[in-house]
Amino acid sequence: MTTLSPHDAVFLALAATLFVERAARWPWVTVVPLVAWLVALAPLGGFGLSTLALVVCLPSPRFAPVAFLLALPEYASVMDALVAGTTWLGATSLLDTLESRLSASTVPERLRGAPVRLLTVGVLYYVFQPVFYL
Amino acid sequence: MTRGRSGAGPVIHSGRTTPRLMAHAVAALAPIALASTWRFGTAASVLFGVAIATAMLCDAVCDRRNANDGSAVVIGMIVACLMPATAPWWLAAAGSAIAVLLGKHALGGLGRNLFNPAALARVLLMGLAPAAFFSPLWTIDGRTAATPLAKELGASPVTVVDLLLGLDSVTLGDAMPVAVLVGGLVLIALRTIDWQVPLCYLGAISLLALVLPPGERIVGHAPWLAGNPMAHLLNGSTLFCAFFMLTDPVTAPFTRPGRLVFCTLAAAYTMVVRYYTPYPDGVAFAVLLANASVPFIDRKMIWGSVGRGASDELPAVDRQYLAGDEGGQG
Repeated sequence: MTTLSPHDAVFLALAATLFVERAARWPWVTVVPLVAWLVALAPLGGFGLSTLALVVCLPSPRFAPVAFLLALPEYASVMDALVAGTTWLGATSLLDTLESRLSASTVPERLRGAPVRLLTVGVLYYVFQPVFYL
Repeated sequence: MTRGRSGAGPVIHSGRTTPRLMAHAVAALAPIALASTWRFGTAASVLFGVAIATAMLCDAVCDRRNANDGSAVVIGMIVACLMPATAPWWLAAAGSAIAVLLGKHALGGLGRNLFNPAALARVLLMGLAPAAFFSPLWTIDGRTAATPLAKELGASPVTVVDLLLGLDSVTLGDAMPVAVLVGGLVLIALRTIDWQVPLCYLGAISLLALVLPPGERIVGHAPWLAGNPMAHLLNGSTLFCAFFMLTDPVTAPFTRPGRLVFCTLAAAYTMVVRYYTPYPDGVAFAVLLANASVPFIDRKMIWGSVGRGASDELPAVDRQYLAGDEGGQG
């Protein structure tokens, strides 16, 4: 069975971000990969999973599904975790600035809304692919 | 833009219509097409033919009214230029279909598309069909990979003349960098592109090649690329990107300072990918990242100078209109 790669997890989380209402502390989700990496390192035994659950819900309860996706992969190093967190934050901010273009009347009506946003997430998935090899 | 009445007031037409600008682009791409046919033979002609025909067909299916404006021909030619000479014909067809259907029509339409259609096609195809693009010399997690920079693996340094003549070229667009330079100068002479864009991009690439410490892959496999700006300028698709992709007015920022930030960002991502990742070339990735950053750059540059009072959102304007009716590739 293949595990979820940080790259896949970040862009699944990005797609999920589109459908979750933003709360004030949503950018705090950026630290979830780093905490997930630390939890995996620490000898917490059975407490590891509950600690991770707490970390997933703590930054922003509404964003728990997104944080959960970011906590899923096994991060091989601190660099992996940092890259995942910052890429998610960067790509989310980028999508926010693209919003006016994506909802413009120039986008075909059938694609306007969620389809064109998901298409853009797909494009960004490939654009950021090299970053995960840093 | 059409002659005559306009709701906004009297208009003086610059004469720069979309078909005319596309004719300029085709004229500038012609030396590259000829050079690649001379270097790679009929394989290059087939790729150009298939890419152009597919782009025209897809364009006619999506928008029959504007199908004769020449933009599909330009997209097809640029898609072909980004293809390896060894690519099968269907890859060129798939690239053109992605560029026109997704890059041009789905994401905005002529004059309003978000991403450079040809760069989008190249990046998606590299992700979906890596074996068709990448040389067996270069592997990324078991997959194999692309372009002249990869071909230099373990090779001895090549001279500037070799680079100018594209003796190690892999894609049709860099079959002969001299031809790309000629095409770029044609576009500058015809005032179709802003000369500051290629200058800024190439300048930033040179500076970063000198300043950035090379990554392990460069040191281990192609040490002569480290700190060698000329090799980075004449290798890969750098020149082609500078003259034919970043200069697309539709996917670039409105303001001149914005365009300089845009070029610097593209150069930085190109060099980061080349120096620190297993990907041999980052040009197409860099173009798309810079394209995605355009609304952010525009917001900072335009509303930053006006002040933050009125609105934080750019109006939904017709970029083609604001760019002086310069029809882009898409």
